[in-house]
Amino acid sequence: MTLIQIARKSLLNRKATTFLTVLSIAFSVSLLLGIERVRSGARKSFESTVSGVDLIVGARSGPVNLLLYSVFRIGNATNNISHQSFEEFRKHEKVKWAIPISLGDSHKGFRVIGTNQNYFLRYKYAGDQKLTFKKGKPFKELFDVVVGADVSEKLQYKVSDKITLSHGSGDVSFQDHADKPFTIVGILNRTGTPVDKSVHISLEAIKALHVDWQDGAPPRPGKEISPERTLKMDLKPSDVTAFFVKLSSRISVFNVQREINGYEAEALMAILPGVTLRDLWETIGIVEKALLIVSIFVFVVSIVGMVISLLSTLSERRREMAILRSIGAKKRFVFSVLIIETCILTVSGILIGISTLYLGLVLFRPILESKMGLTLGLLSPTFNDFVYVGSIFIGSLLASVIPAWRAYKNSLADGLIVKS
Amino acid sequence: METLLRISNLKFGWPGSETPLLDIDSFEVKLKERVFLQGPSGSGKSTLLNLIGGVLIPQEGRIECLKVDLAKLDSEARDRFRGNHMGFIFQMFNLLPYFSAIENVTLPCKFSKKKSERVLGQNSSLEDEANRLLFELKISPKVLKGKTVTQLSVGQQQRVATARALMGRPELIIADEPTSALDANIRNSFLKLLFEECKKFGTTLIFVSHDQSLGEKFDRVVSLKDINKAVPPDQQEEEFGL
Repeated sequence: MTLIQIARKSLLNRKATTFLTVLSIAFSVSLLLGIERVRSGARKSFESTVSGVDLIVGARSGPVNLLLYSVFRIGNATNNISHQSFEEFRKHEKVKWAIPISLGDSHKGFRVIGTNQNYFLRYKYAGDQKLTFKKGKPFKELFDVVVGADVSEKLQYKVSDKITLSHGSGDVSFQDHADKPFTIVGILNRTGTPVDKSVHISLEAIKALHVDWQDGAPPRPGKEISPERTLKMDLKPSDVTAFFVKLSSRISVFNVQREINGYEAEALMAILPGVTLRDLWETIGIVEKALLIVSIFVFVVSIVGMVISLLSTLSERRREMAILRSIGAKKRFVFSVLIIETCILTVSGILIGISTLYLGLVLFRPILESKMGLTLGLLSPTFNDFVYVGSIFIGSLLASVIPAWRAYKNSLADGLIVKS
Repeated sequence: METLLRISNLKFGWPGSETPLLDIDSFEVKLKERVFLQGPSGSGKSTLLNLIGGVLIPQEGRIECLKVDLAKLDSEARDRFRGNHMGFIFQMFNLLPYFSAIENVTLPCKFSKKKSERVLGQNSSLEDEANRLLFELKISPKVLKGKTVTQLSVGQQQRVATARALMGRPELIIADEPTSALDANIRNSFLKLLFEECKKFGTTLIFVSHDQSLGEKFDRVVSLKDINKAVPPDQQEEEFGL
């Protein structure tokens, strides 16, 4: 009791250095835990981009490539696959449902996804979250379009606005589908996934956009087919870019994958999204490791700072220790005072660091989540948090042995009388 | 009269040094005696005080305090013995700056059960006893009000330190140059107060100083040179130099 009181009052007697030391520890704690939070949040949002899908099927290329264009809307498919293959596997006995997607068009830099009603019913992200509508409803008519949250926000779209799509996926497209305008019928709620940046139309609409095109070139003058005429045509889609598959039972996932990969009518490839997501994260995860290393260095620097600040006070504290010895304090008491002081510094630093972090999280989480699509998860601490806080505590305790040992040796040399 | 402290055949030298720093055949202090131990700086005074305080142990000989041979106790028992039976007053900066005067005075009772029991046994709380001692040493609560101990004058600080040394009524008070930082007139009144308190409690006092003029106020004056057969290194140089 006396020990803690002495350590506490002695620290308070050196307010400035104590304050700065606690501040630097607090800073490194919030940095370390904050980075951990962002790291796990980034990983989590990354891994929860698509869920509830057992297989993703596309033309044969690389698994990461397929994942990138089908889920993240990055890059392009090397090839489309026939709608017939999609139909075949959609009706497969082991398949519960399948969502087709057809890519290739864009709208002011946002990708256009041709799909079907299943997309709005079945597509899941972040575990068990379904797509929900902020306004409006799924597309029904041929020239209906549903836009993601980012699209509507950035371009300030509202339901019943008319938009035109462009051919190709570049930011600037020279070939507009201006002849066939679409009407926005629905705006999706924010998901924090690439869905927010997507413009959704039906597979038939994709077909309709290109119905008068020939060999990938716009219709020659006089050959255009008007929207009115298009509506009356049979617009059976001829191909899709990829499709998401949900199986009736997960057990058969490898069987079905093998079956798709060995499909004879067409060169197909099926990937397990979870596995590929993890592979992809491994390659881009180097950034998170760099962040972690930086924050560990910050922590080490703050511990070094603490040790220096304690060491620098020791010479002026020789008298203090001699007085304590003279009134009966044991040798190890001097050692313990320094250790307890470190504990007080570290624990206050950790507590202040954690409170700052949580305050920051509470204040900035909504902004981070809505603007950056970064889900920082629940506020409750993770297992890693405890590991970090534990290592910080143990690390500084180990470091505190240096000033404690020094004070102990000083005190032994001085005895009761400090010569000035 | 009973003997409080008896040093016999004591030899002490720092490790690695061939000649001993202290070589004392016999030095005794009687109970309630006020001894003035005189010696210039570097004569081994500090070492002797560390030996009596039980922080150091001699290579040879006995240091008996209250009939206990300190050299035979282990380090923790010596610390406990010092806490229970001794009080120290140093030259300057006697007080822990982060404690109030009252906290400084009561602190020895936190380290010594015996001192604390002695105070509480008189049906007095530690704070009351501290206040009483400070009052007797002419430090009123008014003086202390709103001040940290470092804001007190040196004379006041030395009196607070004296109160701390007296707290819990140890049998022996060791004062190491407690007056050397004080002005002459303050020095005299300080000594007067110290003597009064020691007399009241029957406390033995070993007062160490290089200032010979103070010696006449004491029961006995002992020069460290006279009892120490070893020639301390500082004086070796002086002697050879002369």
